[in-house]
Amino acid sequence: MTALVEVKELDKAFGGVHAVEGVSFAVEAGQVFSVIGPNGAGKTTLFNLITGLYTPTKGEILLNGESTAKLEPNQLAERGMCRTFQQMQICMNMTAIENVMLGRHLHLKSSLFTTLFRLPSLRRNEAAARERAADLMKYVGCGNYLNSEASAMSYGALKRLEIARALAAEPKVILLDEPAAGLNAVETSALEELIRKIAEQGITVMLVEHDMKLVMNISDRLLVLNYGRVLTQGTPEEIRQNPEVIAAYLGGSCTQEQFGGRGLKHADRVTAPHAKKEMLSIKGLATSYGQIEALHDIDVRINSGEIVSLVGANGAGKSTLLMTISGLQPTDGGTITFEGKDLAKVPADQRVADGIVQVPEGRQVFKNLSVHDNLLLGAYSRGKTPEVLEDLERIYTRFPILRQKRHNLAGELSGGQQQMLAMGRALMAKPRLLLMDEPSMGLAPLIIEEIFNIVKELKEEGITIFLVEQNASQALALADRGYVLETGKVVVEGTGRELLSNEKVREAYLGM
Amino acid sequence: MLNRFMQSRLRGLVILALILIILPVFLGNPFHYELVIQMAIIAATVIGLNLLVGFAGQISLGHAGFFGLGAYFSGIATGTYGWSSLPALVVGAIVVGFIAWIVGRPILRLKGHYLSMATLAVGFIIAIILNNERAMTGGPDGMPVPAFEVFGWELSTFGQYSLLGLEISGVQAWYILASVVLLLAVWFALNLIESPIGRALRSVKGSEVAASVVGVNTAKYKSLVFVISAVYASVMGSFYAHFQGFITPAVASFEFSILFITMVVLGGMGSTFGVILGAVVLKLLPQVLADFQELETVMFGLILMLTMIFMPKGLLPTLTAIVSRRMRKKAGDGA
Repeated sequence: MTALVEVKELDKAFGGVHAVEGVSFAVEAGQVFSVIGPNGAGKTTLFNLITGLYTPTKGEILLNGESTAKLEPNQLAERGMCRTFQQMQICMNMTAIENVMLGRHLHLKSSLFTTLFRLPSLRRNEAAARERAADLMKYVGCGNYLNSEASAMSYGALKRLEIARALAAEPKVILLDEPAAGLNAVETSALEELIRKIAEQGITVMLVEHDMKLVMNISDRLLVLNYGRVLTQGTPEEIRQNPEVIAAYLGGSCTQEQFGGRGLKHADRVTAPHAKKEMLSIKGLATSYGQIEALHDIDVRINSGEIVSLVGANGAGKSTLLMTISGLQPTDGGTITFEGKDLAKVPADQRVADGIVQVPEGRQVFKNLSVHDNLLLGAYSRGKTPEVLEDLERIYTRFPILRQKRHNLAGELSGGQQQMLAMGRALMAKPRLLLMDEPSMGLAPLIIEEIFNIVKELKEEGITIFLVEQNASQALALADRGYVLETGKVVVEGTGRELLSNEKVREAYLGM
Repeated sequence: MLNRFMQSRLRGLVILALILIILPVFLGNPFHYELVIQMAIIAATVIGLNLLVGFAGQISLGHAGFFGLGAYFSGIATGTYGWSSLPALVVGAIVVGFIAWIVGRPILRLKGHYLSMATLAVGFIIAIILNNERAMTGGPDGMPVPAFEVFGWELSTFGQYSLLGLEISGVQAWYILASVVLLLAVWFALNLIESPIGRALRSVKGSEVAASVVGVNTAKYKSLVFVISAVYASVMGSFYAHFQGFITPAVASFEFSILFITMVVLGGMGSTFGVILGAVVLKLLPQVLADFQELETVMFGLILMLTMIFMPKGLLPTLTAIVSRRMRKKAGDGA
């Protein structure tokens, strides 16, 4: 049996840095083939090479025995290769269903003449395409968005929409780049079901994914990348037992638990501080995006020195709540009080000076600036004092990788390094209340552990933390208290331990 | 019945047709007609430009160049070589489309500011050629263009015609022609947008990467829409030349290009009917502001600035959003 996708001695260098080096593997038709490895290992680069978005420096890729060297991405699509993206690529200027109909492009040929006069043949084809797209949206589980604008959809639904668009092209092989990133446990198990269904149709699936439970459950074969090279490849069983993989990717402390159950750790929790002084108080808060009410009558209290976690499904309004606190999203009603001061009239930049600093979702580092400048910009509100340089030194000590890369552009860093930079930049503003939005999103298990350790250390230094996380079990295990948000409302609150053992929460967000 | 009409794809086109039918009641003298005819011709041009800018997310700061080429092609072919108007218009459109294709292939690889600069340069080059080729174009002094003529039947703004037994003046006849042309321009644009080709165009704006991985040849579609919008401009330039009876290189000028883009942005990028409103407003404003005399340009700029600050999506999309919110509120109160 010949391979559907074959990669031979593939090399890709970005200005002297080898992102992918000497990678060879073969994917047979009908397989679920996963690529795993730490952040910056070259997984997405590999996908970009396979789908023709990058040109290899050396080596060869064969699709169905044909070299893809001279083919553009659209020509690869014609030959049956489709993909989704880690950073979702949705046309926000179209409706949801039009995005899926776009996937039918290759199967809808119509001349300019037919189009301009909208002849009956075109109308028939369009109606059929619309019907097919609607079926696909139901198939991937976003059937309730049939009449929506793409911009009105939640994050999780958009991820499924991207899969529907790829399926609409009737591919032979579909490449999914981190489909589970940013999904909660319940959504992830729905995704697992979906990938299984796709594979059963006979479509070959290639997957880049950090969620080990998902990967181990559905893959036929795995490829492990580290620093752009193949560490090993084999069946899930073989990979699970490979000590090298555990050391490079899963972390020394990792055990079977991480493979199976998302590493739930109740141990070494810091006890809540004695002084329960109220730091931030939100009362009756409401906000909306145009017609859509995003938050409704929110009451949240954060005491100084606490870690407070906010969990909830995608689109529940978690990020929106953080943005209202940092002043980026205007409120429709209710009050936010920070250390006794009403924030209603305080602009976002002044809030930073007051001590409220956000680490935004998706890092949002200044990609065209050096790491050093990114950090200095974090201290912008403090002016140029000798103290700033001391703090800079402290950040470099805390994140040695940032010191090492301080002259690199932030855009050249891997996902995990960018997350550290985003945290470092926020710390440079000397926050008293740190708002963290999905710090572990799209990161490898080893890095996630590191990030959570840092969160813990920051708390010990006396910084109050409001944490939004999809990784609900880990976030709640770390938190003093937590809130559960559902469609813009707080539905449950309690201590981290209470929420972890709350039947409803376990079912809805922890997938247990 | 009314409900079904309101949801139909072509309701905007029907409303526009009704407006064009009723409008003559309010047009008192030939000057009014002239203004409206110019509006219609320019509106049709910007509908074409909007396909490129509003839907495909590319930009052209030199579109008056194609408008001017169409105008001069018709002027020279009919005036100097005695062609009939319609073949001149069609051949002109084909030639301009071909030029746009040749020019578009390389420059549409550029993005953002670089594409702006390149299209700007294209416009400048065309204007310079029209200025310098005195022998053919008459140079900066311009050239006369014969009246529009089809099958030996001449449509002059000074003529008198009878239509179904009704005595109409030349400008009224031109008004009918311009209305039909505008409606056709709208109809073609609407058909194009809601089709596989239109989706491919919009996906180039939405996400070029996403478009390419589902099989859209983005380079091809960018060229296609650039050519289509240039053909729109060329055809309208031909009509403009015949209607005015006299053209100067100003029709291909930078100022004219900027005016087109401003109409698109002001009316509402990606809204076919919005850009018509943009054209109407920008043609009317100078008339209304004439009372301010030397402050005219200041007022003009101020109005543009305020519109963009408070209606960043453009006039029509913002207005329809307000109206639909009101209506929904009313429906909500009623229930």
